[in-house]
Amino acid sequence: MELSKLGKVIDTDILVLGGGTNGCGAALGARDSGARVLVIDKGSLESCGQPGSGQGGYNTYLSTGPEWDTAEGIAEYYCGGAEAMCATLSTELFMKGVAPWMIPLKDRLESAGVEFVKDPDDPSGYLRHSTCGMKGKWTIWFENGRYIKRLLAKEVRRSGADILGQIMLTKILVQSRRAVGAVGFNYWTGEFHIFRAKCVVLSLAVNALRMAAAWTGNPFIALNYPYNTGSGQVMAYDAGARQIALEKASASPLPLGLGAPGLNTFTGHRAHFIDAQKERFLLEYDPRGEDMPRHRIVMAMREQQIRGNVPLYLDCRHFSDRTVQEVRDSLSDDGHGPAFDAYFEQRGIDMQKEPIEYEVEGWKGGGSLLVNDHFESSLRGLFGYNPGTFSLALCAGYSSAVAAVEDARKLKEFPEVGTDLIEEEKERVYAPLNRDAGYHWRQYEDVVRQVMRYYVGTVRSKQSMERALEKLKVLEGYAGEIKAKNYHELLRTHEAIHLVRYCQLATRAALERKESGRDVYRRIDYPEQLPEWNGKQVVIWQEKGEQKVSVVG
Amino acid sequence: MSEFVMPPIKIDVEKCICSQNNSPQPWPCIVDCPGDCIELEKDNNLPVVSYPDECWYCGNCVISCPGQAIEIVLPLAMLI
Repeated sequence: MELSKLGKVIDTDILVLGGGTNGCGAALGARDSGARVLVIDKGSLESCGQPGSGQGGYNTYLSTGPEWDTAEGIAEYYCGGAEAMCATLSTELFMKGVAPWMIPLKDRLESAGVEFVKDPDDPSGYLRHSTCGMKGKWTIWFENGRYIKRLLAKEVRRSGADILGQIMLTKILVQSRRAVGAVGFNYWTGEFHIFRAKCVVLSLAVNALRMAAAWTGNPFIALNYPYNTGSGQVMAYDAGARQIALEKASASPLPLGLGAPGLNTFTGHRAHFIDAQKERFLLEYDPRGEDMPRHRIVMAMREQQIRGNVPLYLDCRHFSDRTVQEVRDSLSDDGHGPAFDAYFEQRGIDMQKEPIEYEVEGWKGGGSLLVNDHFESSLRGLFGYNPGTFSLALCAGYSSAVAAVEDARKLKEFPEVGTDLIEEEKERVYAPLNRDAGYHWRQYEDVVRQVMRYYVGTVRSKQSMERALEKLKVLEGYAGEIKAKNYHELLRTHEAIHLVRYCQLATRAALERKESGRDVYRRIDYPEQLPEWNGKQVVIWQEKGEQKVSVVG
Repeated sequence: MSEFVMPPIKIDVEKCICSQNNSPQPWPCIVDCPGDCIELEKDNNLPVVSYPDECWYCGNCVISCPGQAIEIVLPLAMLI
């Protein structure tokens, strides 16, 4: 069958899957290298991804003189040691693929209309902060962070990148062990799309959500973008690429019920957590208090919950009027800006009078491609690394695309794309619309969450995770019984199917990590953080339909 | 499933300039909702939240609305 009879066929040099921060970086990198690029996202470029409704700031070194203000200085914070912020990123990769772009892309944002908070007395000209336990003042807050994604999107469009939104991607195309494109459907029109490319950059989310319920009980009110259910990780797995960090489970303290932490803003101004006894309980766990790594704060808060020492609060009563104003302005620009404003107003919060109640329900998963020193995965033609922090995501996306363009130049012609597998995928994609009866996607997803909560929750073991894997496998078998009434439900149905498959990968990887302490869960069979796991990664992939797991590093 | 869910946003119809001007589709609130939760209600030419229980409360619709017609309405669990 001719390809064009199966759906709309679009060719490009570099196909970028995902239009969030990383995908925008990739689009700019590809365009600056002179290639044609097409960015595909489920949402619209102006609002999709984590910073759609705002971003607090940009982390970078600025080379003003002090030792901390260098690429090496910030590399140590992100990549060095057991408590590094981006444990999946090696110092070498950071120095080669991220650090060189941090300043140029900061300048690029500025020329695109992003305003940074200035300080004429600082040698850099910017007001700089130390957040999240940083040893250097690497954070510069945005003045107009609420509009960051719209400004970035404008810059991407100005660069001449092609953009297509409202596409749910379902499969990466592989031919002769090379990534050659992807397929998906437009959930507004229902049209099936076939994208062919010389190289593919995977910029889809590094975080997967909806495997755990939130405090409100609604899994969509999550601490990160809840429309990510592990599609990138599942598609990369199906394509045969090796992945790491699937066992990563992270969380954050959240203002009660609100799916937005805002924590750096508060703790950057020296707010502190207190328990029901009004004690600064974090100090009992670590003398660094609020400056300890985020996952340790979460674990300490959970311990207080287990002890029954709730409610837990963030105490800002010592804030001056000026600090309150700064925090409110900053949160209003940070992710979820409008929701933060509503939260303060509708709850009538006066942070100088009463501490703000915080909770730590829910968690998110991870998973990245295992890449070489130019961001190419183990599958030829598939590039991409997303560290998940705004400036790093932007820079790593940029670098990945630059490397992809170099590789694409070696190809004289577009790789062949076989039609049989695409035909089969198309049938699978639309099947839920053709069923007379079946489960609603939400009923199905609720069962996935129940299995994850009960067996792969905060406290787990080999036995509990093995049981979860059995149940998730059975559940995957029921995926063929979900019915979708319309294209919107078809979108959610495929998100749910990706979720049940993602949960299996995440649980399998977690089974392999025989320690606790680097994430927000505890294995009762391996309760301690072990030095022999420093720098080690669990790798998971499939070969000829068989799952493989190994530990590298 | 959604008809018993309190809408996550309030749209001031007086300020919905896209509706008043009959602006070309898709309107910013509809296209910029990352959850595809908002649709056009054809009968009265106004945006409506079709999937309120899939809202992230991110406020993208608030940011994108050219008439500043949208306000977030927190769910009960966030208010108490």
